[in-house]
Amino acid sequence: MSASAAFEKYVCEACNYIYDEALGDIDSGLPPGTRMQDIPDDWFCPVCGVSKSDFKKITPVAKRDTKEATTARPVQKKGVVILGGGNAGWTAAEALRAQGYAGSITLVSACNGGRYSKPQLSGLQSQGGLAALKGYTAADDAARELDVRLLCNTWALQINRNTQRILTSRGSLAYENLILALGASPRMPAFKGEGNQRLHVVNDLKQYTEFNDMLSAVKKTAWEQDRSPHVAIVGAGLVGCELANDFINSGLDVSLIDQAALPLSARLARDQSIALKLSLQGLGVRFIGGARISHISPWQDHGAAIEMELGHGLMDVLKADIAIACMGIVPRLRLAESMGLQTARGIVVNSKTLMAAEHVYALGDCVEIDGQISATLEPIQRQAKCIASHIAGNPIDYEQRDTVWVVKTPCCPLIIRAETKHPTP
Amino acid sequence: MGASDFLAPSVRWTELEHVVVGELAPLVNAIDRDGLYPAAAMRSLGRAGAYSAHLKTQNAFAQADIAAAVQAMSKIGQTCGSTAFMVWCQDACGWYIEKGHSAALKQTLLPKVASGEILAGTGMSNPMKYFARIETLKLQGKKVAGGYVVNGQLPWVSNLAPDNILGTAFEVEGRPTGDAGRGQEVMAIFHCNWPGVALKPVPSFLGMEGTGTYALHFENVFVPQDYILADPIGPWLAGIRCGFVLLQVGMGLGIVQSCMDHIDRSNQTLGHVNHFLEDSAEQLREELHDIIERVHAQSDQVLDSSDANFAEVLTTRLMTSELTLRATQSAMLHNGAAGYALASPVQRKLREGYFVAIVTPAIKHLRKELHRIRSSAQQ
Repeated sequence: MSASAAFEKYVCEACNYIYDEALGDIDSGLPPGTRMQDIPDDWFCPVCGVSKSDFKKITPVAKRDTKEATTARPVQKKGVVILGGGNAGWTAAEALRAQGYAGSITLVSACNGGRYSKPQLSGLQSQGGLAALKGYTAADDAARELDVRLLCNTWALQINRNTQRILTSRGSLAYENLILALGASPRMPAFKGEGNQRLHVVNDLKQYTEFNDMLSAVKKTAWEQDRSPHVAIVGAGLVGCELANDFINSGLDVSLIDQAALPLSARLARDQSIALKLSLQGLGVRFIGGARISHISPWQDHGAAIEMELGHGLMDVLKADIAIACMGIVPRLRLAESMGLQTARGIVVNSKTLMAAEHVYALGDCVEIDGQISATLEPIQRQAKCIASHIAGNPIDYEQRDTVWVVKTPCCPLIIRAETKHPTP
Repeated sequence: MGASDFLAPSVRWTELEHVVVGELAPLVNAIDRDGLYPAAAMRSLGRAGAYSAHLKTQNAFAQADIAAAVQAMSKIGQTCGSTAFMVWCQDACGWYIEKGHSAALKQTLLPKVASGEILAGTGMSNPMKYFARIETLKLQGKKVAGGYVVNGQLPWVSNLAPDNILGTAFEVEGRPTGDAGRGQEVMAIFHCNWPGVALKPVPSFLGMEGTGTYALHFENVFVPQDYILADPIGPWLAGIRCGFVLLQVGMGLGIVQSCMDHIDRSNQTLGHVNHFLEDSAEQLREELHDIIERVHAQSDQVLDSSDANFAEVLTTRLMTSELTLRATQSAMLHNGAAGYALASPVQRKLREGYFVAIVTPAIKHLRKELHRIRSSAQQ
């Protein structure tokens, strides 16, 4: 290949991560300028874990002939309504258009509906902060490109499956087909004491931005006192560990707390957990395992004082300038339950059609397929394709695959491949 | 056919029917257009049990049956939306006193409100909007020996007359204001004929002129300790808010039922062309039953003061407003010129329907509160 040929970009079809030949993938040992064809076949997407063969070269495409901004269309034609403006919702809209669906698509988002890749959030601090977030698309732009009618900052309140109507906080909608992309909400801290509001949950960009602003204030104060700000992370699961790695690399003083003796113990084999713990400790993360939080009080302007029982009658109080709760996520079930859909831990859908009921589909973090909740990016593209195929008229079956979790801790990167039978804790 | 067919024994339905047909029906246009305040009919409705089904301490069955109260209001509202609204005012005031902390009023006033001997208004529109951060409180009180002295003006309070009472809230001088002070206000009952209380006329409305609606002016009105229902208001308000909102559903249901009847009637001669219209009687009937089912389910949970439960009640109320607007519009379109005539009840339903959609909590208020609660619950 001629050295002077332009570098190409490749997009991961599962999660939209872009491999830019010009930049390489340093963390995986690929220097800038590494051509795709020269990348070893056992390389995998650093965000979602799919293999090299799932990458597609990006070729410039003629812009789709779009209409005017769709946010204020007065009359809604019956068609598809998508509830949820996260990755799953937008991917579903994209898949419908890709398969030639020409009917009306309305997307309802409780937040501002901006599109972004959430996995990036656990690596931003060591890259300088929020400005390092790549590939953010405002909802209006995404809607215009896909010819989608958009209702942002809007909550679906009640759904009538017989009349196929949805009551929202901005008016009623009718649907021919409904796609639930409700996601999962973070477990909220409910410890004893008045300090629960001091534990930030950072499950989306808005929450992360609020946390980031608070962190800036905390950094300023700490630096004036000539010390590093101390961040406490409650919960050493996937996100907790990734954030701990990210924060320590950005110069913060980090404590990582968990009830279990080892980090990510629910998913990792014991030796992997130990390796992760040692790697994090090697960077300076203070790992406090076997800790039961007994009380949380507000501490100073933004922080929290965390009282813990450490077993054998030992107690400790950890004072942090700022604290984060990473205690897991729970599928959003309220709407599904209120409309009479079957729910267990997630919304139960047919494993081939992804239907929850007639005219009602669901995908993403809110669903349970054959008893499994994946809560990862990878299946979403394939789920969206399956649902779109059923709506657009050329149905293909969904294929459940083993879930793959990529633990993006640069100090000790791990891939967890679970058998589909393995229960998600 | 389900929950809507069951008639709770706490209301004397046959007697109620007689009052509606015999006393109320002849007055509907005078109430709507001429401002006739139907005090006598209101008292008769009280004697038939229209105001006590939801008050555990005031009916023979010792049950708080909100669903029955809603049903009674609905039956009345089929004939007269204005009266249904006043029935709600009466129901609400009884609810306030029963859930309030004045043993004296529970003994003296409550039985009379429950029976309709004393008619009662509710001036909670401004306080409810204040708690939803839509406007500021309009009444201010100052602590004095034996009670409070209250000043201020409320622009519209209904079901008032010189011999009536009302319940409303005021903020207290010296207590924190704004977000820090929310919940520190005081809830009290006032008599319309107390010194300093003045009922001022309000401009003409689109309809429903006979609802006893006045601007209420308070000038150094002394309210004695016995008339204080809650001080501070916070916990009491959390306890009454679901009942307050759920009870209102009766107003809308009556209008929807009436519209369905008018649509059915018009289809006898215009069915061949009416089938081109959406919101048919069948469609409305189905959605009406959904609301009634929700009322029955939520009737048992009215004392659950959580935001989650309140959101369910607010959703039922929102569904009712939206269905009422669609039903009244549909009745107008189904009936055509016949419904457009001033003599027709159909055009009156249209105007009554707007009232259901804008009386506090209005559609925009409901959506604002639901947005707040859903955002806080993250689903």
